[in-house]
Amino acid sequence: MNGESPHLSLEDLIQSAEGASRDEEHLANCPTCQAQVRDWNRISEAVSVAVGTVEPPPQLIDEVLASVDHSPALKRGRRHVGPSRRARLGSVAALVVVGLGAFGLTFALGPSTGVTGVAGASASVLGRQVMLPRGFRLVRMSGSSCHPWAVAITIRVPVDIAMTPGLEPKRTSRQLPVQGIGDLVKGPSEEQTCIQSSKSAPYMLPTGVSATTPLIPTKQGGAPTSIDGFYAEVVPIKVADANAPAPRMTWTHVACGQIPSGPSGASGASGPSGASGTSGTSGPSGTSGPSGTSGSSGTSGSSGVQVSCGAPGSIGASGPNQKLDSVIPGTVIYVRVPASDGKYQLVTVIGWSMPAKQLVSIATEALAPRS
Amino acid sequence: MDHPELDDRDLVRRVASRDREALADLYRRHGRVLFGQILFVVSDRGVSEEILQDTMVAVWRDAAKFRGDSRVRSWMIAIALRKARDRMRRHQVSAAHDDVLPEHPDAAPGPELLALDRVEMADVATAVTRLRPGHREVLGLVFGAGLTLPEVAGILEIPEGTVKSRLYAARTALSEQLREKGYSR
Repeated sequence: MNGESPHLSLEDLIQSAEGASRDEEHLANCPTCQAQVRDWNRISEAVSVAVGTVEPPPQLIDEVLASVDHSPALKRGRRHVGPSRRARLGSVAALVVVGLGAFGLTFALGPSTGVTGVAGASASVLGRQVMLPRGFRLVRMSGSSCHPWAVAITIRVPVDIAMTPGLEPKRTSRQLPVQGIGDLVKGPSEEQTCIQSSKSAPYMLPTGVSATTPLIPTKQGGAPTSIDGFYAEVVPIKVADANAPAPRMTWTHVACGQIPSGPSGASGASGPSGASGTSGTSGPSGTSGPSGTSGSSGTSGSSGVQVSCGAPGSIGASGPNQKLDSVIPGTVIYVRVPASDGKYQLVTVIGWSMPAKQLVSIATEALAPRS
Repeated sequence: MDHPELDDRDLVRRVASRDREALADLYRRHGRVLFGQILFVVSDRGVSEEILQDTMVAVWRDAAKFRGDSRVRSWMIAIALRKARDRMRRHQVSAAHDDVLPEHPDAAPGPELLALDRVEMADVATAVTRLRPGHREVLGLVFGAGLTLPEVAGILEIPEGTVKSRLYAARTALSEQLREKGYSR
């Protein structure tokens, strides 16, 4: 009973709705409570239907365990989810940060995981087919988006191999912490919205946001959902000379892109050797990039990072190290990074951005090799 | 390797002493319920997976702080929902925040409420998913996770009376939504 009320309490009603009546006698003789029980029963069933019995990914716990085993970041309240091997090689797999021209955005990405890939993959980004260079294996892709003016944001890049048509429909839910640094950021410094595109609906942007949503800061009257976006994919590459010395990575400022028309933008304002940008770990560098491992063009910088650029359907069509202030949305940027065992990891970041001369935000990560 | 002989509190103690398998066991036992709750509130599978991952990391990190004054499942759900709220707040889903939830002040149903048992189940289920996250949250805890009202109050860190008013508010919102869909009393 319900205090002063002659009727059942809410708890009793809910209990009864779930088949565990505590006052059956009252219930049997009270049409009011019976009606309420029926209503709550309906709600209970509806919630059960809505909640469903969706199983979480079984491999998720493996990723959690991998991260708690080895992530020093966890002790600081953040974590980098990745396999132990990669974590051990974390110092080798230093970060490569790619900053971008006028809309420079710096992201530093932590270690990441890898999953089995397939050969000859292509990817679809917002309806565009993006072919991988020959000889590359698509290992995984990730997607996220964030306002390029955001400062000191942290986003996680979800990973979903199932994003790519034809790939093994296996999901992995690795999280890749991404810390926006903002030292290259220009524009308003107030906090901006950072929205992740949905992993469960690959490449679907939030409602009301399209790939060509104008990028207008909130301060200037723009909607807080104005975003750009990108996804990244990680491709291991075999290096011709497996006995090459294992360089340590150097923080590198890399930019490349495709010029829509004419050579005017191709001044090579920045390149793989690190024209500007964030400082970071450094070490012996200077190994050349992998030769002959892909069909794309590229140059090798002094840091050992090789960059090649291309656009969907025309890999390598443009030269490397071009200015990025006039890039075609959807331009593919590859950064190959030598790894300690003589293999390379390729991180590709495919960005889409706003109309006309707005740059794709790029983040690139040097990864440890995987066997 | 599961430890069926261990109860949840034992597992948490083992997690506190850095037993990885115990954490995996907790995940196997409660992962589905946690995931269901998160997904029900957040409505995005990918984000829900991330929040679940965050939750399990937090369980690992904070196991030693578990005082045992609630069920382990409740404790884990509380962590998960905090993570979910944090995420939604960061993404400016402010409408979902508890502060702005309208709450039905009266425990008795108003005369305008629909008789839900006359509404198609599919429509009720759909309407439930369209409730405010805060309403979904309390409904999910009570009817999805099967928690008692005091447990829900503990998880949400609100008085039990507020849990009740939220439940009624959720029911009222459900009724209004279905009326807009064309159902009448």
